[in-house]
Amino acid sequence: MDWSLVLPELIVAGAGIGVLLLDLFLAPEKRRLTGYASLAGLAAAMVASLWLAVAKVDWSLAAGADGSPVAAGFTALGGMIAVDAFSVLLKLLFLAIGLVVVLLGVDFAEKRKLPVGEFFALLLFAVLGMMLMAGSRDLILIYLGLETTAISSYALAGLLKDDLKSGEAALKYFLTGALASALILFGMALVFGGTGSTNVTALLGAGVTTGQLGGAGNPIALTGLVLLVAGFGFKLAAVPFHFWAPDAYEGAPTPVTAFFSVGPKAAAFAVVLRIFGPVLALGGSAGGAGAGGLAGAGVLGVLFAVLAVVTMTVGNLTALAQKNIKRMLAYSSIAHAGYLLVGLAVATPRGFAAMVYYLLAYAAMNLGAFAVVIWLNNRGTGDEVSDYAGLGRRAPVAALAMLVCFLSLIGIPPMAGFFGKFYLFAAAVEANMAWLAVVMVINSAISVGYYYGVVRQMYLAGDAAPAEDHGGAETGAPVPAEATSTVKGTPLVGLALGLAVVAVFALGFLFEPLARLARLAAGGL
Amino acid sequence: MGNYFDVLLFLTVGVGFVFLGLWVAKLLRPNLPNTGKQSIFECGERPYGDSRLKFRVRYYIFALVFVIFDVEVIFLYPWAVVFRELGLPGLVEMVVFLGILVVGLVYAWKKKVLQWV
Repeated sequence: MDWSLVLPELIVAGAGIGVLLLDLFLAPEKRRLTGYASLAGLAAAMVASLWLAVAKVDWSLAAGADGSPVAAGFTALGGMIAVDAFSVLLKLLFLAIGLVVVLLGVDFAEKRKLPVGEFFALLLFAVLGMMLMAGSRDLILIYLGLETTAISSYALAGLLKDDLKSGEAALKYFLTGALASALILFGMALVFGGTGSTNVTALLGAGVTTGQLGGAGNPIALTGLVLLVAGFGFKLAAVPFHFWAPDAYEGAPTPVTAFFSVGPKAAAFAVVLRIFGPVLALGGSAGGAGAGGLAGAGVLGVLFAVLAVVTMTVGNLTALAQKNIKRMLAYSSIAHAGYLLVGLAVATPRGFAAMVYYLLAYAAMNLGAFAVVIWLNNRGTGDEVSDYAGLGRRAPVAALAMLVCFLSLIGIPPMAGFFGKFYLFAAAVEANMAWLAVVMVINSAISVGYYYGVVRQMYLAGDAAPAEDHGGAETGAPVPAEATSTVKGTPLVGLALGLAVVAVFALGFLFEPLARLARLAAGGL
Repeated sequence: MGNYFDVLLFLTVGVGFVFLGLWVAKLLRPNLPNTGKQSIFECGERPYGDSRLKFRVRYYIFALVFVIFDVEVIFLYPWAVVFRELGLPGLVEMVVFLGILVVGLVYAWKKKVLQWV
């Protein structure tokens, strides 16, 4: 066993335990150090991942079955650990997400009296779970990673111990998460029963894809896969499994919300890509023409197409009615999960590559938007959309950063969000699913409505009168003392925001090489 | 089906054996109830009061810490049996495993969970 293949995971696990111990032996006023220790651990794990990418992953292009380039990789622990382009790229993404969330959390935790050491330790363990999810082809390890992430997340949601909403968030997240875990476990058991192996590659030879509605095939494994769709639907917050998300997102401490909206979601997408990607692609190449316009046919392809359409439409329409910015961003993240699902419905290598790229872009722009919310919240601005009135004059930099992130979320060039959506459109059109691309365009147009609502408040509405600033008091935030004065942020959050905004542009400008990278990653699934 | 038939046989015989034993015992044993015999078994203590009373929530955390180390022992026994075959790697792995559990104990200790107040 070559332990260097799991070096990033080992570093993160060690850092988590170290942070927990450090917190115990530090005086309460010095506990910020745990945040810096977490940053160091995550950065070291990133270096280790980069080293793995250079030293262990074979980037030379071998031709895959359909002639497209494929990057090979290593497997260890009997195929449980997969070190390939896909896992290395996603691990780097997860570590970057963790890094930004720690930056967002240090001041927030101090201000709102969060238990600092537990916050960072749980965050590191959650990141560890996500890395295991992305780095495995084995259902058992995937489940272990999933639970490591989920259990840490439940506790993270409830960290504001004196806040009833935070408790509500934790409880709702826990109950739905437990249900999702049960579905996933049952699904995995059936897949194992149907294929005789816990390795996801066994699904390819199991005849799942011939199991069209009413046809022969492998009904047990197919039933298991459908259960997995439902279980991971909860984790992705795809409609109709989304109802926990807005409450959990609103009640959780805001840096944790930022983490939920990108971290566990991206990890769940990574797993779904690993489990379903090859199966769907096989179904697409086998029975594409026969199924009346729906290339990538089979029950699962249709299922993902329906999920994608319903998720983006319901997410966007519900977001229109939201008054609280965290709830609005929650529904927005549901809608973005819908866009991402298009890649699975398309079920071509290009569709999967588009998903990988969109995950990167989405993480950058969504973390950026949350960074602004936290930046303002640290200075006493509430979380209601009406609290953002006149922000363009009070805090021009924050307002501009928010504008950039929202434009990217809408999909305006030259930001990363545009290229992500464009890539998904292109994949859908290429796979003869232009109708899906049309639904996406319509939904993007709807989404302008609620993003613009915030922008209008920031730039066109008058200053929020202090009396109207009730949002902060409701959520237990300090009552704004300087709602009319210039709002300044805290340096670490500012750094995180800067990183996110730079990433939003950089991912856009570097579309060409990154798309190639995503293609390589998706090719190795 | 072959393998699963064995499982079914195992379940049937296993469950049947219990009920058969109870039934045979009932046929054979003398039936002489008295108060001492019919009272609840409390590890030799004389039972008092109702069992549905409120427990202090601290018991819960104690029980949790106890269960962790109980499970640890379950892992330690099979490890001890094959210790020679595993050699040094086995020792290192067990030390890591115990180390992580000790971190949990240290955490509980410092958070004053082990103090009875």
